[in-house]
Amino acid sequence: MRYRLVVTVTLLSLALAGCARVPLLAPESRHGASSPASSDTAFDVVDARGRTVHFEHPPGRVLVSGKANLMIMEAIYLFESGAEQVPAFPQAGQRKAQSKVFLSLLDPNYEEKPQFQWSASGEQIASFDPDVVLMKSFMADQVGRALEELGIPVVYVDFETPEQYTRDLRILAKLLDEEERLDDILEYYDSQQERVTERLRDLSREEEPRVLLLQYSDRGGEVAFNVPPASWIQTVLVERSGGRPIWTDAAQGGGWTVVNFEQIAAWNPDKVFVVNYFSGVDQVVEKLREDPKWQSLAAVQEGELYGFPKDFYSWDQPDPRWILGLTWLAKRMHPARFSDVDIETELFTFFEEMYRLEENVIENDIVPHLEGDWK
Amino acid sequence: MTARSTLFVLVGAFLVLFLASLLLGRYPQPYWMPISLLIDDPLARRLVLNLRLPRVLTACLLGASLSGAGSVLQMIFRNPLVEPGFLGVSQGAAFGAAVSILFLGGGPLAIEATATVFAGLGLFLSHLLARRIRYGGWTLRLVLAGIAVAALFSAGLGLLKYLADPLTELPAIVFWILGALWGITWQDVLYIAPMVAPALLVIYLMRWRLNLLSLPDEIAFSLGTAPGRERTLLLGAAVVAVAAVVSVAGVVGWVGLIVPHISRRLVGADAQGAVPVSIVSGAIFALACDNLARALIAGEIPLGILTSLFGAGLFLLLLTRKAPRLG
Amino acid sequence: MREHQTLVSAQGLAFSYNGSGKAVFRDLSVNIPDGSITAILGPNGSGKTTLLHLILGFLHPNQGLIRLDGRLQSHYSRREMGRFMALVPQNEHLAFNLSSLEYVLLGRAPYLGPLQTPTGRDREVACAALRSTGAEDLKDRSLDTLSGGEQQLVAIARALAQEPRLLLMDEPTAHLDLGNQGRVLDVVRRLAGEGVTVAFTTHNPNLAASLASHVILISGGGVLAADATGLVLTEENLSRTYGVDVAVVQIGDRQTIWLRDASCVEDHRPGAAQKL
Repeated sequence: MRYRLVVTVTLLSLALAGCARVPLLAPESRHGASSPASSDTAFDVVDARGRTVHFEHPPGRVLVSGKANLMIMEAIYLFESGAEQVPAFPQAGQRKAQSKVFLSLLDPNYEEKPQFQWSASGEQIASFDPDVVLMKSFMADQVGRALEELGIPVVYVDFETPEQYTRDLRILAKLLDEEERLDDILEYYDSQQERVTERLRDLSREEEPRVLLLQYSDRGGEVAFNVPPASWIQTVLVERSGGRPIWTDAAQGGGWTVVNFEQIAAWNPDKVFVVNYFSGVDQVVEKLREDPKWQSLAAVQEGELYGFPKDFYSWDQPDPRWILGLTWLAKRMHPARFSDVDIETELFTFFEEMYRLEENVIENDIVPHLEGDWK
Repeated sequence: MTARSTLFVLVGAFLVLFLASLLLGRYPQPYWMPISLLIDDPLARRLVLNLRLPRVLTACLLGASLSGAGSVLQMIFRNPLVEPGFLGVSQGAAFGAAVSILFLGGGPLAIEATATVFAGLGLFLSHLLARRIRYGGWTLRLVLAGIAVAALFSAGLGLLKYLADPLTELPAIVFWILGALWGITWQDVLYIAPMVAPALLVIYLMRWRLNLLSLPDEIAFSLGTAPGRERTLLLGAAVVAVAAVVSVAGVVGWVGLIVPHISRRLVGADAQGAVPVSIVSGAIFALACDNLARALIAGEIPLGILTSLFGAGLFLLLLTRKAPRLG
Repeated sequence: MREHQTLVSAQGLAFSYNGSGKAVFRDLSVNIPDGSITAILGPNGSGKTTLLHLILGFLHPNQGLIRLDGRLQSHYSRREMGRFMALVPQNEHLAFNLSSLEYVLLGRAPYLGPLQTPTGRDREVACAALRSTGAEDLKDRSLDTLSGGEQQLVAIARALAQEPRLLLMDEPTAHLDLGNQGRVLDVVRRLAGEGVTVAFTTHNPNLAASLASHVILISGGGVLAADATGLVLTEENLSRTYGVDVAVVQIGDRQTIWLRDASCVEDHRPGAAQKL
């Protein structure tokens, strides 16, 4: 008799599993009528994960959350309506104090808007009543699924490589309904890139310096040098600026990989660029220049050790500033070909055109934060 | 009987906790949601039915499976220091699930199948190795072998994660090794239910046999049991249940160790009473921990951190309070 | 009621443990008469426990046949064997602590399917079994609080809960003090009176002499003698078995066994005075 009980339970459970996709509540759109899209303002967006998300009209409240949300936030503020449509700020992981100050330059209502943890769960995000949530692709499992179950539209973006930048900016433009502004932004980015590509067109292989890009970190008291994987924007920037990245064999894993000095010496690069996200890059470069080990490197002896510039954020990251990083790198790689390019001018142009900041604001609030060998 | 009345009390407590958990969360404000919201706010309804309910159910199934399996493992191996996480069962399941996602396409059935296979492999290896170790008593040998096998599978999992595309293929390593219920949807519940429900039922129905199977082999034999076959059936049920929950929730530790211990303290070592108490207590424990995991702060605390905190803490308390009579 | 004179008959048993190479038995044949109390007597390491396990079916002989009540052992199902015979081991180590009643209840296993739990009737049988060994006060005490003698009585009760026809006991009075030994012997005698066949191993000839109706004397991997007690326990047989000079003295209707060189063989018979 009991055997039958076991069998019955098994069959019942299997039957339940058969109707796995049980929609307890019809996934109706939260915005407007659920009648098929006949309104003029309806549009579709294909996000970084290839999902098509449908909107009846452009979302009013655009919330950004998840890890590495900073890149997305800064991209939103390239558009004019960013300030209106962002209802709340996720606290950034990197250098919270700095991020506060920069975003307050961009958003006049910064002080009044609430802040929340970047790691907020689906429920927490829902309590801000967003019309769309933007996150990086890898947040899908942790938060994305929960939001989708709640019927809150989620659009994933990457902003990791120059190509993704273009694609994801288009997505933002659609969501914020600013196609014209998008053209201006893309024109700027394209022209900057083209200038570099043009001047390097006839570059021969011998002329490419052998380059090492290192991230310095001393978190927790441990000093470590890391190299980025081949697919990341740092490597792409080095290649596009006419350099040859020599570290790619070491970074087989998915993220920053630690390398020791022995390896660095064995590589014997022509130029070394040091990135530091979490503290001052100038002190670090200074320390390395005085370190006898490092002094034995040809690059250091020839003065080819550079600190990667940063203002609030380093210019090597997939943050809108990467375009400045590209220009600066090209100038460092091939000074002769870019002798007429003045980084300070480029800087002002960038913040004026991209973030619509006034000259005196840039002078007083951004320039003082500049570090690295940017001049 | 005291065991029976204890069980009634626990079931009652469980039901109360279950209902309360549905009203606990971060929407619209931290912790409690007023019931009226369920009528007024469609988002609140949706949240409770599509998000909280499946998650709460999964937490209960997780706790019940891990404690049920823990009871089975402890009695069959005559070893009060084992649990699925100590014998490589959970880690094997996690490894199997990761292998399935990376190399076999990752459909839910495939994931559960490979998870079960590797979980069983983990158990088999632990037992095999324990017999070959030439150091210490049986208790120690089994735990040593189990920890080694668990470490091997964890390392394998780490390696897979290192080699995989960091952005899309595998969920974060944190998810696997610390366990989390943040991505649970109805789909997950309905996929693990056909594995967990029959497995737990088998364990429940055979609970008295566990007493027999913890006897020395010749006695169990003289009592007319087929120790090999019955043990295989019970271990199989335990492995199936654990593999199912690990494939959706990662490795959640300590539940399978501490809850059977506490149950035996409450109602005695007789498996007839201790196993049901263990299963219900496990559900309560996991549910309570998951409530904290998702509602305590704005972000999500991985579930395994909380179960380790409370589980290990309780365990130390138990060990130091009474003389080591682990029964 | 008794269809066969012999309850257990083993013929031509050969057995060796895997990997040891050394044969425990080469060609062993024994019979255990129905309704008897049979002692399996022999020195340490002569394979007495092995023989018990072979009869139990827990070990399989390399050669030879065993018949239980006329039927081949291999024709019995596990549950049938569990209802036919019960084992009281020398000592049991339990990892988990049951109460005496819960432990005795385990003896009902041969009457329950794998998915069943004990019923009220089973509980009654278990209580009765405890009563018949005089251990009913120990019902709710947990096993680790019992003395060695009390544990032995509870173990016997567990075996009795199986309602067996044959009770196998391995060194039943080892480690017991005089009082407890007496109780065990009383229980065994009473069981025999109720028709249960008892077979026990021992290395102590005096125990065999005082309790058993039949003795199987094992030595050197084979049977030296197997017959009624009085016929087996002779000076010649025992001296050959133990390799020492043994004296057998008849006191009343029982034999007592001594070592001939002035030191005494330990005598555990109840009420016996210490001999010097």
